Amino acid sequence: MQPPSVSVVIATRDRPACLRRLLQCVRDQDLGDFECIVLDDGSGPEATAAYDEIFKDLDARFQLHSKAPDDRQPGGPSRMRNKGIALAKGTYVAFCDDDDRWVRNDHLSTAVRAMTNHGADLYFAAMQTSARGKVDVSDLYAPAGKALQRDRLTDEPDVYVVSQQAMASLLRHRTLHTDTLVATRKLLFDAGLYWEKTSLAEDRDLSFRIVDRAAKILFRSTVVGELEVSHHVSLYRSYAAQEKALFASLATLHSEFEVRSPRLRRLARAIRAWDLIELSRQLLSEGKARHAREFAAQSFFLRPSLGAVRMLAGTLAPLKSRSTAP
Amino acid sequence: MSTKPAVSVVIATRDRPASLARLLRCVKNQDLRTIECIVVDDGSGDETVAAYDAIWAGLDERFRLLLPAAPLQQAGGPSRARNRGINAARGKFIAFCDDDDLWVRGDHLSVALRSLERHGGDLFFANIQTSRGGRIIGADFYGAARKPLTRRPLAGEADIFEVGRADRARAVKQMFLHCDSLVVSRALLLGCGLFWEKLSMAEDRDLGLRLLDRAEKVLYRSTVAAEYDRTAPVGLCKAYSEDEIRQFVFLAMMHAETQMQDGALRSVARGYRAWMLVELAQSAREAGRPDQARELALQSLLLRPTAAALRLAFRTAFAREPALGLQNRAQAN
Repeated sequence: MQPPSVSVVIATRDRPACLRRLLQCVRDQDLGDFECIVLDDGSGPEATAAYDEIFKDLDARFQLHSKAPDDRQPGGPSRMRNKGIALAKGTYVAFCDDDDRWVRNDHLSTAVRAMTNHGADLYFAAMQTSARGKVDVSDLYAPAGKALQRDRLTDEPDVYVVSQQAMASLLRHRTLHTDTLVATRKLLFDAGLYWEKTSLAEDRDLSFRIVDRAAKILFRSTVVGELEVSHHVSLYRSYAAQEKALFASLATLHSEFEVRSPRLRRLARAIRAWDLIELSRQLLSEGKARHAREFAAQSFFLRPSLGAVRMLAGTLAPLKSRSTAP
Repeated sequence: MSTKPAVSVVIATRDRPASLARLLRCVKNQDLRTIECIVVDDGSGDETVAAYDAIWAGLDERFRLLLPAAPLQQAGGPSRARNRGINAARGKFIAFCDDDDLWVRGDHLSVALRSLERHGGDLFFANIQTSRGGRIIGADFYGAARKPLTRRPLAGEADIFEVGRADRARAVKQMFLHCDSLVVSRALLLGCGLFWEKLSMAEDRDLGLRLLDRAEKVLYRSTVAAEYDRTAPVGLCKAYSEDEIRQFVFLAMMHAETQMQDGALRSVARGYRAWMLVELAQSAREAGRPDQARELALQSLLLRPTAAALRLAFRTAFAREPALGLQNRAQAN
């Protein structure tokens, strides 16, 4: 049997209704030459019971991989997606989160055609966000819209070649979201796959590493992916604000250590410096002015910014007022 | 149920029935009888769980086993398992030991309890020896910090010292507080927020610093009471690369830094972070990435100046990034 040109990798857990909606999007794609690998990260009996019903309506291109009953290793989206990539046979690998969806049925066909014709190894498309069935943000990547749309392909109406510099300006504002990501399997392996040691900001870390290694990156300006923001991932919710800042900082340190491009490393440092300002702000709001000042100073030394200076000044004020108090 | 135990021993374990059995024998042979021992299984395989019956046949009712709440629950990591054990514990004091390590003295718990009670301490730790494959490779784990640890002998004690506030930072600069010989009041553990459950690596270093920050009175026993077995068959550590461990130690130290009140201890945590950056820089340099090594060395210098970071920054200052960097730049254009 000929390997499919694209493998769609979906990690899921306890969300049968969302998963059904997404798998219908995949089935309705106008490209038939794909395989869809669904990896279940230990769902409960209710979800597993629903799978029979869901997969009954789908053909042999759809595979469900359940966790082995004796596998008690911690799961997590990174580990699941890496398993999917390892199972994939396609030249290209596409992703989508189980609670999100594609709003166009030409996503895979456009990606495969443009990537093949132009020898690209990384492709992504515009995204919108939705809350409770209504579109919330119509263009998630708008902050870098101009930089992304400088160099249009001659044979595609809405696909652009994107330089690493333009990608850096996107990553400054947004994470390259997995929902519309299509990459060659080779690029994913070269970049070192998802980092399985963290479950937070792992997609931002991978964005850095694949952008660093990619030879040619394409962007489609038509909205293809829809990010559901009304109910947040439970895993993400289990982290307190301060823990999020700490783990985001860890993921970005990992990116900085792994990428070869000096520009991307500078950007990673800038993002870590922002995370330190965020930590400083949280510590100040807890009344820990001295801690806050130390972190603001660290941010400034990592990367001087007005924000760090303002934060430093802000942490000095409460100290002063305390020393003048009777 | 019997009377309330004086000390609860909390042991997290996963798939190490042989070494767990060895440790439980040490616990059973302690000359302090008023203890409970809570073993928290963090999702071992069926074979291990089956082996527990035989192990428990040789133990009395003071030994409890907490299996995962749901049979197929995935491993939650050592921090969560230990916290579960702490929450189930009834003793005023809680002792820890890693499941692959052991206690080499039968008076570890009795000496800990007696001195904690007599001197009003809330944190006790004893010296540790290290071994590999049954051979002792280090007889004095805390040797590098002997001076700050043994500055204040306690009256009427042969080998117990009080570690004053200023000496705590001086001591942890040289070593980290190892779980194996740690005995802590439950109130102190709860007060400093237990193990950070999000961490499965360097979580003991994070907690160790936070405990030293909060403790009212810290006691150190200079006699070796525990053995840290570095044979390491298939530990969690093996799943992490050296560079990943460095990044996680960096995270753990940053977490401790956000939590601690003592400025000197925060400075120690920062020092460890700076040191991890130096090690990452060395690793980048060895991998032929001098640009990156220089950037990391500079970061380390700005976080906390050290001679090592300065040397590294100089050594990499004029080195050129070889092939891979050039190739990448060409691709970017």
